Amino acid sequence: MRFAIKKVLTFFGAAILVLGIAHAQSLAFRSIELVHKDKNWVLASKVSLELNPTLEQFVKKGLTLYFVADFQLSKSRWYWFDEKIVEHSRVMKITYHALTNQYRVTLDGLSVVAPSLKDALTVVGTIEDWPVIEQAQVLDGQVYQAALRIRLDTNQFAKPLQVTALNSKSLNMQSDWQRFEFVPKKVSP
Amino acid sequence: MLNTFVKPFLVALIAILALALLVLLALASANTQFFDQYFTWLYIANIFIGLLFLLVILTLVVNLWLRWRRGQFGSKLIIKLATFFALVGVLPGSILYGVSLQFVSRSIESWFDVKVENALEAGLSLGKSTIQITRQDLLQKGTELATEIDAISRRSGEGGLTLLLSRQRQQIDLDELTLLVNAQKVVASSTTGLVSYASQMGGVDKLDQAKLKGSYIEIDEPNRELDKPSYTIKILIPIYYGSSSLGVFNLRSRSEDRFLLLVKNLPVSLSNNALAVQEAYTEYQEKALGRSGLRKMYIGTLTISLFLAMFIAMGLALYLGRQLAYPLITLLKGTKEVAEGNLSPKPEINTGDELGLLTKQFNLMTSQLREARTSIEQAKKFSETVLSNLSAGVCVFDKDFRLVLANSGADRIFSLPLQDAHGKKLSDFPKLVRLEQMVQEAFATHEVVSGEDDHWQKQLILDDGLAIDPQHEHGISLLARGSKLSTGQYVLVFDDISDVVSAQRALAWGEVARRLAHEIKNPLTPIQLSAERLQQKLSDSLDQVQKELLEKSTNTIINQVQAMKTMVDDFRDFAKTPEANLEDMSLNALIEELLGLYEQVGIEAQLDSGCPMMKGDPTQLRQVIHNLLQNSMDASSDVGRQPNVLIKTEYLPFTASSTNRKGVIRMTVRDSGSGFPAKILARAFEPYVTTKAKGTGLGLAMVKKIVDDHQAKIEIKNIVVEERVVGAEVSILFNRLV
Repeated sequence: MRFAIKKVLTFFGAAILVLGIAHAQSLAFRSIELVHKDKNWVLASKVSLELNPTLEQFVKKGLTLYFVADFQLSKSRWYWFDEKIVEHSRVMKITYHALTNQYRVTLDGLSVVAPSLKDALTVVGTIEDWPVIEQAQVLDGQVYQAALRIRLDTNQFAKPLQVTALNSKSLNMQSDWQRFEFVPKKVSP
Repeated sequence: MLNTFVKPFLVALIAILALALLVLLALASANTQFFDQYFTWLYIANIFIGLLFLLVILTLVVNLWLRWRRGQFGSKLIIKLATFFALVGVLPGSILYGVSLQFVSRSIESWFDVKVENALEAGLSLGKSTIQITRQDLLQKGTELATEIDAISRRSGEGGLTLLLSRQRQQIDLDELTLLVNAQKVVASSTTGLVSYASQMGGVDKLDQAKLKGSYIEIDEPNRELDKPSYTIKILIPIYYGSSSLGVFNLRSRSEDRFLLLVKNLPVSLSNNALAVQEAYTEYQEKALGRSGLRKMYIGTLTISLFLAMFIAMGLALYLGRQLAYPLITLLKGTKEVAEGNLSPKPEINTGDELGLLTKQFNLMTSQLREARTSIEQAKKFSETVLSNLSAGVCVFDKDFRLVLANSGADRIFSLPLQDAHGKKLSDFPKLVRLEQMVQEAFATHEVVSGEDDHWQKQLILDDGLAIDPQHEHGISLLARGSKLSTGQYVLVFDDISDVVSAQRALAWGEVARRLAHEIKNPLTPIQLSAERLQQKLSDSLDQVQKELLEKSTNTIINQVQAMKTMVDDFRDFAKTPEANLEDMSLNALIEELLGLYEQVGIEAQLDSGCPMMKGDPTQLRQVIHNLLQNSMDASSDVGRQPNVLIKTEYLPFTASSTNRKGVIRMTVRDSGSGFPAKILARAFEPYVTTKAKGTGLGLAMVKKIVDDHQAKIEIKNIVVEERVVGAEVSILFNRLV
């Protein structure tokens, strides 16, 4: 009996490990920076995105891909868990329009037309003027931990595809958290 | 206790959880926001629950198996029942599952058809080419128009262009036709709507692209949010004034470039159809791509349903199996206990059905059995008691004359432990070798001789009397009666009739004595008379010497005859004791009166003043007491001791609280003599049995006779102190009180 339980546990452990390894390919951060702008800290980042053949086929067949950029800002506390100050996510989706043979990247209701997939991915991989931190939320001179990642949101797939995505390597695309220290500086008004 | 509560609760919890999840999963097929969001988790949770089921079922099965291995009572039955129920539950479920599985796999594949895909793709390309053709057409017409405008503006400037544009717009069926320099500067325009696309398309980058490539085309998709029902094709075509030579072009400033903007909205119906095709295509592709996932999803749901169904079936099977088996097992246990002889009431199970009834009936049966057994036991005990209290000996033999049963009477008669000698032969006891021979002979004779008579009766005498016990000096006289049972066993009933024989002997002796006495006494008187006469007649005629001789001889004759007469009288008296003449009398008064005669020898008397009057013959009783006292004094003087005789009376009521004067009076005479020798003790009351040097041996015989006439009882025994006889005691119990 105990042996059986152990086996099951081992199986689960292995499964989780596989899920953990199953991404972090074809996603590379080129640059990340936080700039002060209009009483906000805005994020700018460049990510080179590349779709694997499966996902490319998905797009070509008209499926919408949702890319989610997650941003977190936390402050470490010696006495407790880190304090989460800011958590933001933004969703960008790529849709291929077969009739007009063009790609459309949508972000917050605004859409950009891109003639090719590469252009569309460049648009997705370019984060500009994303106000993530309000000035009042951080204190000057303090050290904060910022983290950014981009992932493909498989939960937006149709249900059958979600099931497929459960154990499919090629349908999971996720960058590791890019962590960096953030120290707000006094900004002259 | 904890186990019994927690286990079902846990199982029920898991079942409910699983059911809920399953329902959710089934509902998730409907497209709702909520399920879209948590679908994956739901799916994983269901798989987990499925594994949990498997675990629980395995646990139950292993549990049962372990019980079976341990040989726990009833586990086989539970396994059987559980297997039946599980089969009933699981088999149809499995069949349904198999069919559904096939159905799901096949039907999902069948949805995705090459023809359908081709049709959709064809539709899509149809739409594509429609847009393409429209675009090409527009581009061609635009280029022509640009050339025309170029020519006109060279000839007559830009004054009449608006009119031309308006006319051309209608001719080509455009929504807008604008000549512009850049976003801000519109030279001429004709439009159907209120909004001009000039500002949207007049951006520097777009104009540059148009200039670079000779045209710039942009297509807007329909957008429901912006209330835009149809595709919009926008084309920018540069017009180069005097572009005949490169040199001229280069020298011209950018501000002098003109661009023609053509905007056309495709017909809404066409656009809608194209869109529908595209949507259908996308959806189809989505489904086609997701079909493996869909299959997994359906199969997963089906599998988990099967698991759940199986779990419920097996759980129910195990539970019901136990439930069903429980009364049976209880019954089985009961039967086992009954077989082992435990007839105590078994716990009843109140299931309200036939099984419960069965246990009840079983209990009823057991109790009846118990009652029957008890009554049989009582009967047996009763008969055993009767048998063991029977003075007669009873022996039962098997065919080979081995002892099957003997009662205590037999033990007593033979002074042998026959009751414990089961399976032995009588000849195993040296004393009884002769008896066995006689009995077997008797049975054999009986079988040959007798007709209908079912038993034989015979008086047997075991003659080696001394070997048995001193009581039976002349051996044991047995009155034996044998019969053969239908089972082939022999029953021998025998009675020690030594006493009867002895009594008969006494009677016969008395008769003989009486007759003999009579016969002897008759000649005695003539002998005496003759002797006296001889003495009388001859004494004078004889000389002195002879005379003395005569006298001496005749005296001897006379004396001896007298003695003989007395003796004969005694015998006669014994044999012919008159009937007791019973009257009311006081025993104590009689004893006191008698004691007067014995004053000089000193006899101790302890008389119970509470003794009531009794019926008795004072004359005879006087003789009895006299005889007893005489015996005692003789016994005491025999051993040379000072006579130490005690006479005692006491009244013994039957019950202490009894008011009616019922009871017995016991008179005891005790001495300190040598006691009765063992041989005498048994036959002390027979005539001519005596220890005295002189005596007829009739004393006690007489006493016994008188006592018998008074219907009283007499007991004699030796007083034994520390295994030494220190005296004798005779007790007479008078029970005829007034």
